[in-house]
Amino acid sequence: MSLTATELSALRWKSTATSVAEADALLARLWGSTESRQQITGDLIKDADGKTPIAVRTGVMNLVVVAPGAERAVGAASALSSLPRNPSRTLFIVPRDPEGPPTFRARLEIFCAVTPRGDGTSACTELLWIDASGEAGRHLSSMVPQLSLHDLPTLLWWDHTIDPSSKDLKELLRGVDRALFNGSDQRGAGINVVSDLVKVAASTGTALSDFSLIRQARWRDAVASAFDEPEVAPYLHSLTEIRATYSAGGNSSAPVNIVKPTYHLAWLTSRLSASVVTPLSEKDGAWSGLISDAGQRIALRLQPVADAGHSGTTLALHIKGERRGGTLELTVRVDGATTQVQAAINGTLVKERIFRAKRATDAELLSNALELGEVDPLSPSILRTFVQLVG
Amino acid sequence: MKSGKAGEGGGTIRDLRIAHKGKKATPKRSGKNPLRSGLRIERVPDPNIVVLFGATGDLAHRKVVPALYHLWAGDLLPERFALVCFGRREASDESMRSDLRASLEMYARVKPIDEKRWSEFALRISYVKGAFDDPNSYAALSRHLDAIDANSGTSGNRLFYLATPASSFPEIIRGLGAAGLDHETGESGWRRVVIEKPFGRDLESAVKLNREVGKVFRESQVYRIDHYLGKETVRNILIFRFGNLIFEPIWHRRYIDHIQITVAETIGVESRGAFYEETGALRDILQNHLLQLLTLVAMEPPATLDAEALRDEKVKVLRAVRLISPEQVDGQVVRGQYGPGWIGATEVAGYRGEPAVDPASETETFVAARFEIDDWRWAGVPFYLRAGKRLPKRATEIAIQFKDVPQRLFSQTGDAPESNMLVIRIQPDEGILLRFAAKVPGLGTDVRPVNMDFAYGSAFSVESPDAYETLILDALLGDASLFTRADEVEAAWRIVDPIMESWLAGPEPQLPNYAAGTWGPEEADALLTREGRRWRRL
Repeated sequence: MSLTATELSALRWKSTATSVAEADALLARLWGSTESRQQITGDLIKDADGKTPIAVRTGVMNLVVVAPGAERAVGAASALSSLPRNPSRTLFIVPRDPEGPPTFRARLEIFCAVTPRGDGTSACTELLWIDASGEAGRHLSSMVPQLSLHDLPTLLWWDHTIDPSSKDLKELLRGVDRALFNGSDQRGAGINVVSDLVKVAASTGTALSDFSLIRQARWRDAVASAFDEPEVAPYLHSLTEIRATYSAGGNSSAPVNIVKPTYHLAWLTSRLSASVVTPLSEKDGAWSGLISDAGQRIALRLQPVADAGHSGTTLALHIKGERRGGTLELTVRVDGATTQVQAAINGTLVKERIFRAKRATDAELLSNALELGEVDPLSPSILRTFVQLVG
Repeated sequence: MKSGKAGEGGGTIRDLRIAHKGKKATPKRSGKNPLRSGLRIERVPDPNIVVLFGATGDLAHRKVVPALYHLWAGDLLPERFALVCFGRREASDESMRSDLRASLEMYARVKPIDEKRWSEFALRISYVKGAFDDPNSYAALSRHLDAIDANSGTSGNRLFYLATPASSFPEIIRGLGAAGLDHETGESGWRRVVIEKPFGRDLESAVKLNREVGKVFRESQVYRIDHYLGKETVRNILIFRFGNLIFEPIWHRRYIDHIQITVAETIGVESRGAFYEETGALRDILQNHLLQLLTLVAMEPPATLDAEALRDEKVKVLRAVRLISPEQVDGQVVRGQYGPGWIGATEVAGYRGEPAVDPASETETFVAARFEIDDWRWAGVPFYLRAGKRLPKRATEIAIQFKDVPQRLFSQTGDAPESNMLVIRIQPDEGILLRFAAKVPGLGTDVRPVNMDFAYGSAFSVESPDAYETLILDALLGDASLFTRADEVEAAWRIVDPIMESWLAGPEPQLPNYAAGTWGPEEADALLTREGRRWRRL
């Protein structure tokens, strides 16, 4: 595994460690004195005044990435390389060989980039590539706090399958400020895993962000924009049905993960301040439920459609409303870089909007989660509603 | 005791509680769209046409078109978008595209140009030849726009961008009005006009221009662009002040000694000699950029970030600036003009030796002024503003100098702590610095000032958009927060007018009075030194 932390940065120092204590001590010593810091700045050219270049560690955050294999960890690192803010320290942890002997091996690297200040100061970021085998890999919560920098927020990116019943995961969540995960990568329908994780995170006071949820930003904007229209707005609290169609995938008989379409329902339910009357349940492959918006009953439906696309991906959102003899039919579709919104009242098109909004890359999602996560105005209420919808 | 029933205007507290419980809970709803709550996506404007007047000019090629291209390449313009270039020169759609492409090669922020994105963008560019004073040209433009609406679904939404010399603004505005291109009626879509600074040459001409614009466009349709307000660090001033709790309580005359705002440039007038001869540093920088920075530093927290709330607060500051009477100008304002000198080990000409500049020019290339704001927050706190060309260093910053501590506990050591300073660096090294006192390690109590220095570059490696990208996108989205309102422009001229009048009425100035590569005339230092202060060393 190797990486360039950012396109403009360079590897300034590296070492290895075979224990958590050794890794911690090596890094602490390195920053502990001007002399040892010269290991980072050593061969950098002095400026015209003969001043030694300065290297400082960024004071941003700890990032802990747990990935199922080296390839995924490198993928995560690649996303990191284009982040607007460089974490101060990143731990890439790959748990291996759960039945093997407990071992810890870490490669430590420091990357620095000259800041644009013009005084030669380099901002540095530390990367720790950790292989944890056997019991060590099952006790990440014992490793992460020791290797995290004091007084900086810690963010966990769990790029792995989730076992919400795991005591170690719960303990790990107790020690981090925020956790990122991907609900649409989870086993089965995925909704129970996400729901259980939300409950665990609530008990530990950890904020959660799901990439699948963040990725739906352009859907949310499209739906919201329809209700900005004066003709459409009055229907917002007179909805009768919210239906999401999603790809059932190819011919595989594997259960379809429905986390993504469920998030649409959860978002609308939370934003309408509606209450869940009947949680989602499955019948003949489709899911249905019922919510109430101040007494107005709204039917929820998740409907699989045979489609060659990625299984579980939302294909369209259909929203119906009825008010004073008028019927609203709103359809939103996202296709590649194009989002399409069509609103018709009594069959007459009143709004059609097509706009370009490209699909966010992993790096952009990560960046969003890192930059906006601390004050995420959406996730908490949507995830709470999600739990209620799952029942 | 008479017992009334709830709902009949009386009753005991218990009656009311029981009646309340029985009522069907009906949540109160505001008129706002709740689905918008918490959305942070970068919004894409509605389908639209940008009509660029002065499309063959420098501003269009250097700034406006590159900004539009970057917005397109960043997926921030709608699919149904068109750029109509309007100019006097003979040109075709093809030749216009080719000219703009050549300019992009020079001025694009991100290079190389993405060929695919450029092809998509170029397809949306067309050219209309016309004269600003010819009604037939506007009729032809109107037909052209209608045809694009019909063929490309741009929905009648139009942004008229006036990238022309200011002298052409009135006739273009009149032409647009006479052709009915300003009308926002029924289903016709929105119509907005972007006007570049300078907004007038003085208060009288600004009022006149606003009146001309107002005859055709409503104020809500007018976007007066001052690109300084689109700069990332300028926008950050609001976040810094009102997004943090710790600074606002001390943002007050009780704790602040004075404030310095500097816009220093190393360049001279380059190819803009003719323009600068008629403008000068007072009109070019102080009346707009410096006073805008002053308003952002001095304004009260707005109730919301709505354009009107924000601009109301800025106007209040400008109205509270104590006017300098013509008699006070000599004591509170200093003007200068650079003579020959050295910049960065290179010998440079004086202003009067620049191309298109009168050898006996009296135009100022430097201005420094002391202002006071007469309100409860700022009474007695001087604001020192300075701007100049051919200064030793390029730097724009706001320095807030705090007062000394009330008791100098450590003065016996000979190391009385320096007072705190907060510096908001706008360019080129964007960031924020806080200077405070710290003990020197050792057995004594030696005190030294140390800096806590936040640099954008080390915290965010993301590249900031150009100010024009930010502002054009805002105009297309209908967000006028970062644009200057008519009364704001007039309030700023009201501050500057007496200074200009005094200079015009006074004796011939002794210019040049500073050498290129120095920090301006010595009188500028005296503005502060006579009050026991000094300009910050940049």
